[in-house]
Amino acid sequence: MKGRVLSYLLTLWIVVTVNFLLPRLLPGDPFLFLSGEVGQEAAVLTEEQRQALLSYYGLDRPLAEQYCSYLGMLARGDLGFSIYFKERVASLIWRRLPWSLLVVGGATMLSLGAGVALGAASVWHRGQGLDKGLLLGLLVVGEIPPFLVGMALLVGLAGVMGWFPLGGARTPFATYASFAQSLMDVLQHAALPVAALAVSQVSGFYLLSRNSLVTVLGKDFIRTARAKGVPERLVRNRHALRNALLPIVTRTAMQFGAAVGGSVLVENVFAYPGLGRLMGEAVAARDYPLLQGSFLVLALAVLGANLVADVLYRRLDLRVGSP
Amino acid sequence: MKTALALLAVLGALALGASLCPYPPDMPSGPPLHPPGPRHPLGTDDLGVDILAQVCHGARVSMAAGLGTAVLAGGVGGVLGAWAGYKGGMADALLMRLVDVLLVLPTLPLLILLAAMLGPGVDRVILVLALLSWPRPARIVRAQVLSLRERTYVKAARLYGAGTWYMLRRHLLPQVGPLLGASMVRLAGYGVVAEASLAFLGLGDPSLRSWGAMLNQATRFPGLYLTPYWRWWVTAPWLALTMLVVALAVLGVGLERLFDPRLRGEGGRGA
Repeated sequence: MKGRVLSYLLTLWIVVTVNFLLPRLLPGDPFLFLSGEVGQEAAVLTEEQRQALLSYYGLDRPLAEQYCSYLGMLARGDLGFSIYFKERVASLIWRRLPWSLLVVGGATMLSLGAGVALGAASVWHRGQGLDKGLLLGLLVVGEIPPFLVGMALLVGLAGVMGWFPLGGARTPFATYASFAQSLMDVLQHAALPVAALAVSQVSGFYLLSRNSLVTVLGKDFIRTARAKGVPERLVRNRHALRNALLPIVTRTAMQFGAAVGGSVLVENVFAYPGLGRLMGEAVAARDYPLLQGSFLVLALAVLGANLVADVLYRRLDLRVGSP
Repeated sequence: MKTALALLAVLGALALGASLCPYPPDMPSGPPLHPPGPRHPLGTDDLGVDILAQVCHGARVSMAAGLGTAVLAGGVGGVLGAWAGYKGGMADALLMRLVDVLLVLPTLPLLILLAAMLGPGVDRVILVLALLSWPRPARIVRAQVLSLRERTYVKAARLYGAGTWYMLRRHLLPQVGPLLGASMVRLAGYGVVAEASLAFLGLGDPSLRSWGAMLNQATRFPGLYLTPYWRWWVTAPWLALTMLVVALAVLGVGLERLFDPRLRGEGGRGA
């Protein structure tokens, strides 16, 4: 376990350091960039003014010193200032975070439920047409990147059928008569992004619950239960399914991490105002502090989810537990 | 698997036949937003550029991204994995620690950050992706080599004084070849998706007409889904991309089943 935590700390350090070094390794500096577009006359700042600005922002100090102050900033939760939105990056991210959590969390829960249900259905009909069809179909669907699924849903269900809104998280300028109405609006906007992410996540849960159920069904206690005359429905739901769900708990944390990555593009497809969309806006506006800030938070979320998965795996499964 | 191979062949033919397209992929050749017809089989986009030509040239970009990632990441990962598995000890432990670190890095956000900072380019996408994804083949190959190492013929060759590089080249890599090949097909899929994702976000190479860039251009058209234009403008690149990704995935899974000893039962050494 210590080794795993160490490995995560190492990854975290790499993420933070890449974030720090990348802009500093590139040719030019922010003041060259700010003083003119490429190809334009860029002589807005004289050399002396540029030096004065560099020392004002501390960019002429040794790299190690800058690194320490960068780490200090991060520790205080300061992610810099967005050039485009004219706002603190941290507060921008903080405002967008709930939307991302809604989409990613919703998709993880939905795909968990659907995956386990389909996996169970597959095992109860093992070797039959349903099982084979589900296995092949979900393997293929699981490989389609979520943003392509999202585009198909957007065109089909929102564009042609008009069942869902085309984008955003709420109807603009709407006033709600009641809380239920506003909740409906939020859910309706979240439905398609959640579905798009869930469709590409389902196969992971499906394959795992199918494998796990097949293993559990071969165990002795299942045979004992059947020999005792426990009804088949109870054997399946109480004896088999419950024990098969153990590995799925850890998988949920892992899939959450994967969904965070997938949500970046899906949010951009649906113009959904979460972190991924924020990153897309930062890319479009070439807003580097914002881009770096959102990258750092997304990376933290993915690393955190994987760490949780690792810890749960060791806690829950006694066979891999402490030596 | 046969369907997947056929799909790949069709898309490969598109890429090869791109120069046969009657219209250029980067210049207007008809009225804007023209529906599919005899002159433009897949219609034109908002600038009047032929969509068939763009899809054909986009196939080249996607294939290049996939092939490049597969060869680079598969090659590096295969050699490193085999080497670590064969040598064992310190080198193995260090390499596997590195693998653990790289495997949990969030690939897409990192790719976006790097592409935005370093500037767009398919070659960079391939390089970064290879840098991030060589651990997958490395792990698979290492596991296989660990078991090969105990075979008598490998021990015999070692007793005769064969060097590490000779062992890798003559005995180990040819044995893990099929499995590595299956893993490389999966890597090609990642490469295709990564290139398309970046281009979709507007981080693609502006001088190349890739499928992701076509989708990006189309989705920026105001009110696209309220017009009939998406029927040819979005459908063509979407279908091409989905078909390529699915074909690669099916082929990869099929090959893994054929060659992976864990999935096939006993003694899977490949043909």
